[in-house]
Amino acid sequence: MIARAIYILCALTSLACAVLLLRGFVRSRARLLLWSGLCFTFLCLNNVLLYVDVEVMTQVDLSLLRTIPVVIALGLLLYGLIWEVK
Amino acid sequence: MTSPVSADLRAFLHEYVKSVEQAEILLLLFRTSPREWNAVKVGRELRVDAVSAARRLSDLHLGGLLSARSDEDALLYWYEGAYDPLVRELSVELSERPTAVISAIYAPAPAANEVRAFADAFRIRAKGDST
Amino acid sequence: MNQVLSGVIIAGYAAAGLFFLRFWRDTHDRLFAIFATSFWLLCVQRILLALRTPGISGENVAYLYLVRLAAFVLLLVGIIDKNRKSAN
Repeated sequence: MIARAIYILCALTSLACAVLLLRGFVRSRARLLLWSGLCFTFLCLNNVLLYVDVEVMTQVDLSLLRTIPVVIALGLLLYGLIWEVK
Repeated sequence: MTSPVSADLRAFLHEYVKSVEQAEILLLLFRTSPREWNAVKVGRELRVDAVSAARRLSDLHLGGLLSARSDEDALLYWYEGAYDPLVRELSVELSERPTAVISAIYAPAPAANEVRAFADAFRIRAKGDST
Repeated sequence: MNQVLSGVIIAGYAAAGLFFLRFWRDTHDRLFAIFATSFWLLCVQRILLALRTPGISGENVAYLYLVRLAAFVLLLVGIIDKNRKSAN
């Protein structure tokens, strides 16, 4: 019950970060915001899949599927941090 | 070791204020707003060279911080509320923590625009909104 | 495969945290200190996850919840803090 609330909070927070960063990218054209916005989008996906894995599809183990968005998220973020910041 | 001034003030100073003298001139006009000043009067008031004061006033005007009009043969400047919260903050900080402000004025350029943009993205209301 | 990905993620969070730390050093903007801490907490959570004895299902262990929660609550704190300061 508390776990469910935590997963939802985490998903909403990463969604908020994604929205703010992507909105910031549209306004400022600063490319770091694109990559970090996408990062948080994939982290949000990870949180959603975590919720689905644990609370909804309890018979199936989604742990490997869940992990892939995080790898993509961090890859995008690190790409942006390394190449877009002078 | 005094803590540094706020990130917003630091960005403002980097953009608009290149010397302590310039800060003092800005704050003089801010304090006496909307009184009009010319370079000679500013020089006398702050005990600085009038030519130098004229250059500072012109820079502040070009930056959009001061308003100006020409009258007879002199240029008159006054402060009309530009960047009011930041100028106010500068005024407070300069009287309470002058060393922190001075080091912020003469500090090297802050991090690239991308990093600033990242931080600014998290303001829900965009910078500059007065509502 | 899971272990390889786990290691990649741990390193990724740690590296991102280091970048945020550098931005904090450069800009003195508290938001970056918060992001650095948050990403390092997520890194710690991944390490704890990797170290736990297999057989315990999923991430249903109390301390793992709390670390994850702390990381995301910190991000929220950062956002709120950023908007409080810009009130002036």
